[in-house]
Amino acid sequence: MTADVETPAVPSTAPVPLPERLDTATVGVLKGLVQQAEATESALDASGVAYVGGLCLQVLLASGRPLVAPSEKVREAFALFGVSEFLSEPSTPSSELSA
Amino acid sequence: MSSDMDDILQIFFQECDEQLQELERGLSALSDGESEHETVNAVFRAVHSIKGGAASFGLDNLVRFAHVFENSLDGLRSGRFAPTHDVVKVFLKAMDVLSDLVNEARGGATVDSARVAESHAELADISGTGGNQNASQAATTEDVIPADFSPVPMDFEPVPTDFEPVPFDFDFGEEEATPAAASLLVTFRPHDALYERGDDARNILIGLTDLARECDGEIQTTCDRSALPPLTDLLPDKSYLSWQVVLPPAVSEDSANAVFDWVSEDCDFSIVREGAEAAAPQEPPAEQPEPAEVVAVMPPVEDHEAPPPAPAPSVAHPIQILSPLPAPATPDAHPGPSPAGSAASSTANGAAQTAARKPEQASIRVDLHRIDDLMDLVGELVIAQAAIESLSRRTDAAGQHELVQSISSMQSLTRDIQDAVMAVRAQPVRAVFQRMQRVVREASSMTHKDIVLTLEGEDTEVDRTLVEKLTDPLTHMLRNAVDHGIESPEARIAAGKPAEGHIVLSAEHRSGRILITIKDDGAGINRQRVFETAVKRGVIPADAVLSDEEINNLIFMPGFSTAAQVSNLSGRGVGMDVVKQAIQSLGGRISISSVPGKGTTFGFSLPLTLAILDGMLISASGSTMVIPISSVIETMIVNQSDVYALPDGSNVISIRGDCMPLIPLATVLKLSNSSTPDSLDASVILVVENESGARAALIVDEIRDQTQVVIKSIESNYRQIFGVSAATILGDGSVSLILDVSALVASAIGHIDIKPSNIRAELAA
Repeated sequence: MTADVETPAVPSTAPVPLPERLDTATVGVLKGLVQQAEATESALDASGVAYVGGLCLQVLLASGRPLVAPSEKVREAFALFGVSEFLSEPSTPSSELSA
Repeated sequence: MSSDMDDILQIFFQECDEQLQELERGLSALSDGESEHETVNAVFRAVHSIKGGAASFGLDNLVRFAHVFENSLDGLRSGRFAPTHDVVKVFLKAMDVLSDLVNEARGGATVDSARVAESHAELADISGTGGNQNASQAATTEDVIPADFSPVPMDFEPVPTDFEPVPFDFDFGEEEATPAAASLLVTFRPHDALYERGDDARNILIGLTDLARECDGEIQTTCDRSALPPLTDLLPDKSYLSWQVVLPPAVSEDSANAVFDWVSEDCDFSIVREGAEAAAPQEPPAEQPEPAEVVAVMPPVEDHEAPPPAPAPSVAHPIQILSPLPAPATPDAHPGPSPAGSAASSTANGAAQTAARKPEQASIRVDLHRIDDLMDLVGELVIAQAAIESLSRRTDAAGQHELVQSISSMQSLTRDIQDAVMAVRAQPVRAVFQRMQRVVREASSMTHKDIVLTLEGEDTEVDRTLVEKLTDPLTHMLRNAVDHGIESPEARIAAGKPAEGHIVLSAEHRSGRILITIKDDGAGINRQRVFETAVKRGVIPADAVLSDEEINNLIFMPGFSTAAQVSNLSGRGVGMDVVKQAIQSLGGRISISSVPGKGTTFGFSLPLTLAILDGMLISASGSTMVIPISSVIETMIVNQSDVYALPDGSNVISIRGDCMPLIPLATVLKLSNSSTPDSLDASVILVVENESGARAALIVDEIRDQTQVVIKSIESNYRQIFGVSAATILGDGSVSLILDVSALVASAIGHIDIKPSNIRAELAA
């Protein structure tokens, strides 16, 4: 399920792309990615995410890192979890990706 | 479990029937101009109960429609609009759709979705929400939360009356009815174990969302992040978040509980009805992103190192925690990676569907006191039997005397028990009568007439079997009254009558029978036309002289009309012979009275039961037979001089100037070979009458007794026999046949090819 986890080999300013499935099995990987994003002060690219589970949600919420270009699935998942406001927080400095 | 589910489903459908009746009653009252708060409440409650029940069985179609219906009714209840004629009309139409949807859920015919959609749109129009049903629902759900003490989940001005607790009946409906009051508050905090098992909080939320969607509502989810540590301290596989979900009022506690069926071990949760917490003021959840508020509702979390929930005002009493409910799991309550959950829910759903397809079991509800009465009588019967037993051992004369007395008291006891059992089986005709409202509604909308049906005496009780069999004849008669009886609005106005036609359907008990009358204020029977038609169709000779009543009765003659042709006539007559047959087969009679320009009244006189009849025991050619006493007009001994032979070999008898066919019973039933006895002097005859009033004289050997007999079907035990309607077992154990007087008279009239009244007319001429 975590096969398509992309390696965090991205420039420090570019948003860190997130795996397609953020389920329980991915939570460790996600934490690593988020910590990396924190270290590089970069945002998280949620455009390719198709599934968000409860544990990964915790990581995302705890990090406070902005999610850029959240996919429709991510929006749905956040609405389901009742944390939509977290997505719409005006903390997306690099939203050009979504354009 | 499956059979339990079936039973529960059956009970639900029974309750649906009751609620639909209640609904019909309430809407009728509203259309009659009664706008009492209690009436509106009753109507609302009925729809709500159906919705609530249907939701727990996953009957989606039903729930969806009931929900829209309920929303509109709530507008009425909250006074946003008045129960005008048009509004009530829309409600009545919606009720018909709802009733069909119930029937569909029960395994009946599928309801035309266009019809549902049409009614849906009309209801939405009424409540002023247009097509924006979901948006309005979402808004209402939000609005209801602050008003935590209000039993009414809508955003109306708090008029004092609206705060009256809705006076629910203290019957089965009570639990169902409560959800009307307020939204359901679900709070849950998954344990680590939940995620370890591969499940996810997400699945619970999806389950709850589905629940809400089933009721056409939405959920409001608030996530509590207060326990969430900074990322550095966060252990990836530990559960920190908890949620509070507000479900629409229509969602029942049970169905919400079912969502947690498979996670109850791995999750703390509470389900509370907002209405239950009127005493405890609560911050509106709309402002609840503040964690403390949310946590306050949570039960303490044990296996957790996160900061414990902040102490907060106790908000609600969790009423149902960890009550694993085997029954009504909601379909798709656990989609995604929870195979156990979805398997379980699909099984439960499957069970519900199988149950829906199962034929309906016949059952009745009986007032407890009637059963108690019966029990008392049975107790007395036991005592009486013991008395007879002990008396029968005595040999002295006094003992014999007492024995006879004892037996006679047992006889009266048996009668009482019979009455008590009849009372148990008796049901008010309301169920059938109220169905007729719909018949009239549909027929009048088809014929573009405005007709009001008034019901009277719906509480009149008759035997259950009779109640069921009344539906078809009544439907037929009422359609006929609408189609042919009531004139078009223009014709009515021209005749100086109100444009709105009026039909009264009433029932009453009269001398041991039930009398049902259908009275319209239409144009009455056009006798001239009926007569002409009857002549044209060869039902009567052109020169026949008939009384008004006889002409009226012509419409019941088979062959008087075939539907296609007669529907072009202005008179009545469509398939009326079918009605007559149905009523006759119930042992009933039909009477007609019609005043031109004023209207027509049809009367059905029916026995109270089909199980027992009062009969006259007669013998013919050595066989004892029973003739229903209701068809015997008189008995007499005749002289040969009163008998006239006709050229075809049959005889007529003149009784006080009236001539009627003479039926030698033994011969007609082929019990004896000789066509007529040699001399009829001193023969015993019974003058019998069929439902249309045609009379004949039956020649019998002797009249033995008058008694009550229990009717046993001969058709189901043997086969149909001419002249015999049923059989019975007499006191001596012998089987005796109950004669079908109608058939006998009809055959006699057939023999002489003319109605008896015609003979009378011809003799008089």
